[in-house]
Amino acid sequence: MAAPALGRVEARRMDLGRALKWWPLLLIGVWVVIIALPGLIAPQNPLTLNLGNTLAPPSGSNFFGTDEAGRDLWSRCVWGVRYSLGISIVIVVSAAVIGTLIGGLAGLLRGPIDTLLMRTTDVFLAFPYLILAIAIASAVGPGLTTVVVALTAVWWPGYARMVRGQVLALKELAFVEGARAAGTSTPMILIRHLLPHLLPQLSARVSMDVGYAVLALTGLSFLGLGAQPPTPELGAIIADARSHLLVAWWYTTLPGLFVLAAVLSAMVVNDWLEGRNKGELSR
Amino acid sequence: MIYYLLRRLVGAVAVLFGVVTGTFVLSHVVPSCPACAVAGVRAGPAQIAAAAHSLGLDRPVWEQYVTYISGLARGDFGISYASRQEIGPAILTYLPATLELVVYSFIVYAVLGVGLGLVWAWRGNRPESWIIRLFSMLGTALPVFWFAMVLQLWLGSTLGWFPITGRLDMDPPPTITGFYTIDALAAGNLDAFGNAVWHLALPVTALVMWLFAVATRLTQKSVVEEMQMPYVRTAIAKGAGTRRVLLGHVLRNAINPVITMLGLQFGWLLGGTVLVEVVFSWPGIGTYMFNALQTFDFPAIMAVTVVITLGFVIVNLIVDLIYPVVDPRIRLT
Repeated sequence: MAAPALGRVEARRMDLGRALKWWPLLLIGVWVVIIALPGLIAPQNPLTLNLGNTLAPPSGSNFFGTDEAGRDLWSRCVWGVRYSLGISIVIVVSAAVIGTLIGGLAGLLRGPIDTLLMRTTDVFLAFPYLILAIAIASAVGPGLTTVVVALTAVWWPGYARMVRGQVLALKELAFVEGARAAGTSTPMILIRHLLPHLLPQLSARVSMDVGYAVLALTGLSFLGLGAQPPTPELGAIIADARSHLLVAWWYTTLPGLFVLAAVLSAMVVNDWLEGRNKGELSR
Repeated sequence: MIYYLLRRLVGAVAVLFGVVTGTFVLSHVVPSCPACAVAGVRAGPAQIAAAAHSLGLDRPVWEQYVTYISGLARGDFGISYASRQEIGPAILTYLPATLELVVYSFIVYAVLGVGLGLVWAWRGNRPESWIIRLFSMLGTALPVFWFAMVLQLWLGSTLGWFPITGRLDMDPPPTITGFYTIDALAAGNLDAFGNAVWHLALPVTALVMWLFAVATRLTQKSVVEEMQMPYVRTAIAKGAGTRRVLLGHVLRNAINPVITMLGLQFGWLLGGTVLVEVVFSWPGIGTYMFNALQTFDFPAIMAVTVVITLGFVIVNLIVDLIYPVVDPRIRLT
């Protein structure tokens, strides 16, 4: 009688263990909810001024305190996630798509096109991306679109390089040769036959890069190149806090925790995806 | 060997050429009206045309490009739109502050990163490894400008342990190198030396924390891999002590990827220093660039970009030169 019951408990424990392995998905879910429905956890309007309540320390009604215009900082930070994290995802995904196309074609076509593309990526990869992004953003003029353009421009070469390397290894395999023999066009080979093999590594890299993009994006906004006031973007909020550094500790300290949490989450998801990739290889 | 060096040199020149062309396009072609930035907001068409003419912006693009390149080759970065002064000398006055910050950060970072990476690899799963891991994770995830502000607020202002801004509280020592620490020592002024180090503490901490993870993790990985080699077992079997095995045998073989990475990171430091300098009002080229950004002073922004890239390329060349010395196997290829 006792043995099956024990078995069931163990089975349940196994289920729980298996479910726990998926917890990074829950983490992604939380961020998606914040980006999609910020009003859910931050009911106050992030843009509403309240000049009677400026630079108020954290309290029951203003969880994170208020800024110099009396706006609720908690709301501004939660809405800021939509801008900082949401736009970072856009940047990295665009860079991954562009990089995959260019790197994939370079690897499949080889010849002078390959050389030209790879030398271009060399130049891009050969110097500090933040400085390059600053130069691009300053020329195009500040704004969120600018930051997207600047960061995508400095981010795609990494993907091109990675995908090209993988394509060079994959294209010698029999299934690619088979597809070619059957008359499949080069772009089709890339999308239909090679992409499924590239996806695991691509997604792991994207997850990590989203974290780095959040840091770069908030950095550019901090310099005044990204979101313009009164847009609640985390880097811009922290930049505003600079003028009140000595009188409002919450203004400086708390918004950064959101950036920290977002980047740490990206690292956790990356760890999880890479662990899965490794598991698949060893199986 | 000569072929190896030549290839590196050609690569470096190609990168520089790319950057120079890129900055030209960004400052002369992309902005819809660079002359408007010069003439000011309230300028009429005549003033804009005059500004464009005085800066040569009304000439054909290829002619501007030739002027720009030949100017750069002579070390002439052009004239600032904002101050109407030459950019080259201005950058030279700001550069030593940045170099001092970056060089000290780099030294602290390299020693700490490699040292703690070694500890992490050697101690495996013990508490000290976990602490190092925690710090390296935090360092990667912290926005460097925010961390700098938090240091400034809590350690500088609230606790009052460190100065909040600037390089020095007194008159700077007579200039020899432009590094206040070295100049102060040369002048025998220990007070100024201590004060300069005290001012460096927080910005250096911010920059080191920012990069910390990369060298630590790479060293750890490389050392762990190397420790599985048969020669390590042999060395231990022959009775070599921990220190000898780790520093004499393992580290020498494990350090190569770390050195390459450190070279790249010097460039990141040059980039990250912009954000940290702004926070600490550090009078370096980062602050200079930030001020130029506020006034859309394109020539100044592009000049800093070129200077930082140049520094980056030079450091990478040096790394390439050190490489065969550290690892003689490179010479064969």
